[in-house]
Amino acid sequence: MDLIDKAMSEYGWWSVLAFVVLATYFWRGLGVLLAGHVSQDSEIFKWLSCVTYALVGALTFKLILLPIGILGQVPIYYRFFVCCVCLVYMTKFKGGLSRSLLLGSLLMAAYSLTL
Amino acid sequence: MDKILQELNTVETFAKAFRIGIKSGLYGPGLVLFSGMVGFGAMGHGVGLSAIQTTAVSFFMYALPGQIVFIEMMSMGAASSVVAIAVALTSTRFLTMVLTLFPQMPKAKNEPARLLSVHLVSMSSWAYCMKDFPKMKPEIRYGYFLGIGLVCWSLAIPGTIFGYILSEYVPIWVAIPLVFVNPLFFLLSFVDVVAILNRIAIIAGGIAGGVFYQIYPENALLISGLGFGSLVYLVDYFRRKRIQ
Repeated sequence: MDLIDKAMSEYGWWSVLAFVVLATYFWRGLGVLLAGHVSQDSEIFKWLSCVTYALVGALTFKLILLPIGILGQVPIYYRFFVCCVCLVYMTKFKGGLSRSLLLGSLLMAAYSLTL
Repeated sequence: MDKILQELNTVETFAKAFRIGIKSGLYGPGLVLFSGMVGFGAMGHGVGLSAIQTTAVSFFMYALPGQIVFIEMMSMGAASSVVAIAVALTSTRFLTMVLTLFPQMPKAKNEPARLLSVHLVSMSSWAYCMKDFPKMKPEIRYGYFLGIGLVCWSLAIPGTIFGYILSEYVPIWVAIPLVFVNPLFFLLSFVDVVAILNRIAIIAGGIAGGVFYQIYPENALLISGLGFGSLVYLVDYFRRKRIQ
């Protein structure tokens, strides 16, 4: 790990980007090579999806509850409220993803006008 | 959109399917992806990246959750290796996505190389193809996928630049909704997650993230994702074994 960190700190931000681009492509490319050969019900698949969903879940909660930058100017209760309204609109009123996103953005804009 | 889908039943050639793919891409997933990339551009500006850096991330990575993990962790000063592991883990979903999508498209002679076109797989293009594929002949599906995928990827770049520039010049009541688009997009796309195990993983990861970001901000994502995701899997694994 230290070796990787040393190499990356030497070449800076772009080298980390190059590495993560390769890492992202690795899974796509592997999918093409394995398509039709691997069962989607295997244990490794189940584990990978659990890890992926937990990661994206952690990221989403973090971005909403503990944001850095300008989003922090909107109080947490209002961010939470907007999320709930959009979720209800999408699930109960079948609002669709695009319209729910628009609704959330409008609600955020309405509060930001008071800042 | 319904009209486009009706057209799919009559399509015979690869080129025509490609054109319909472009059309559906513009009407459906392209719009969502564009707004997500606008939000990402605004975020890139917010964490102090240059416009070129932010755009390069969208162009080469083209995986919104991974992109956000990357710029968030880098801005928090996490070690490069930890950033790399976290991003690589968020991208594992592409393996499952490609493995479910590509076998539905039979291979043809002289088709564009799949190892290149796989870069066009995104959450939104994948969801639309999975939904529309059963409505069309297998031999034209690859053309349709290329159309949708290419539109979405092409929109990612102007979307990022647009968001970056907007957040620099627009008032706060426009900038805040822009930054909020992505977390809201992820949250709303969780609604479509069917498997209960994956839903539990989202909630466990989310709660763990909320706690660990306050204690170990640099490694919180890895602890919550890898640690709690694996924990959820293991609990389910032993539960299944016991039932057997």
